[in-house]
Amino acid sequence: MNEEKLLKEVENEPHKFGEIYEAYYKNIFGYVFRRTASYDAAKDITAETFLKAYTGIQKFRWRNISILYWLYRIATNEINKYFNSRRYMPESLNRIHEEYGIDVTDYSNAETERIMIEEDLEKHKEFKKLNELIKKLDTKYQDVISLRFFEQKSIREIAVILDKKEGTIKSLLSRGLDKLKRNITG
Amino acid sequence: MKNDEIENMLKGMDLPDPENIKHQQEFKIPLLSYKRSSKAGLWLLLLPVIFALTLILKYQLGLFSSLLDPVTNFYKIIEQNAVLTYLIPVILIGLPLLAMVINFLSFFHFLYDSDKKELIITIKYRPVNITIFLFCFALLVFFFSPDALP
Repeated sequence: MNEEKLLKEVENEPHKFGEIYEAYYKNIFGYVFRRTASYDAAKDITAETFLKAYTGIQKFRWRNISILYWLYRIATNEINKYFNSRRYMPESLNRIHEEYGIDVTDYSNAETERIMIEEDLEKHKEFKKLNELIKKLDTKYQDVISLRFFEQKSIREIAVILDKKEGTIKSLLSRGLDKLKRNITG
Repeated sequence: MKNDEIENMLKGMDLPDPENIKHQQEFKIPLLSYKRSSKAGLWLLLLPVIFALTLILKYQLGLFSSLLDPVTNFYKIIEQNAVLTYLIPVILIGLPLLAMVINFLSFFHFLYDSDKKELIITIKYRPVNITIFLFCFALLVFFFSPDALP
């Protein structure tokens, strides 16, 4: 996929955003699911991420950096909102619900899929246990640890996603691992 | 336990990877329709608004500006063309009416509960849509008022 060309096309033909959606939905859903360990939350946050990206695509300037990193950034912000609020309210999703009467938070149609994905999560006991400990960390440490070890992103890539300097990422990662170590050893 | 050991543990961990996701198609169509519908609402009002503004400025407020001449010249051309003469009511009344319906449906919801035999009417507080709806209504009132057209 030539993203630079696609971005120009999206300006005049918004439906072309569908190609970005098809290409990266799985990456973003997987990332959010590994962060939250909740199928419902992952579905809400991923939908909110793509809606925000779609309505704000004109703000994205091509600088030889994949749109996927920008999507990771939006998703990370939404995940942090989810962790920092008692009840996550996906604002854009609420608007789409009001406008089209479509409730993406209606999980009844995806019950089988949810059961399969949650059953698969149960098989990853070590991940689940460690993820619970990571969730106890401040979100700034959660962001770097998850992107580095669950999404296998390099320091440079994480710096691009979080819009921070590489040195800052290294320092956050080191401190985050220290804190995680303390959580593990109890 | 050293940081390296934690790193190795994290690196070697078997991760859940949700595959065969089907639900993403449910959201694709409403997502891609989202921006286009709001744009359509605005474009529907463009021509009627230009027409109404020209009438108000030129014939009701008595402002004679050369900026208004291209618009008034265009209307003279329309008057001489039979097909365009029939199209004018569609543009001036039909388009604001359509925009009014689109915006009305975005804040006014009807739901019929067949089990309880109830019609549930909900009015959502959506200032932008309510404003556009009222603006369309005012525009239609203006076009239907006897003194609007010269």
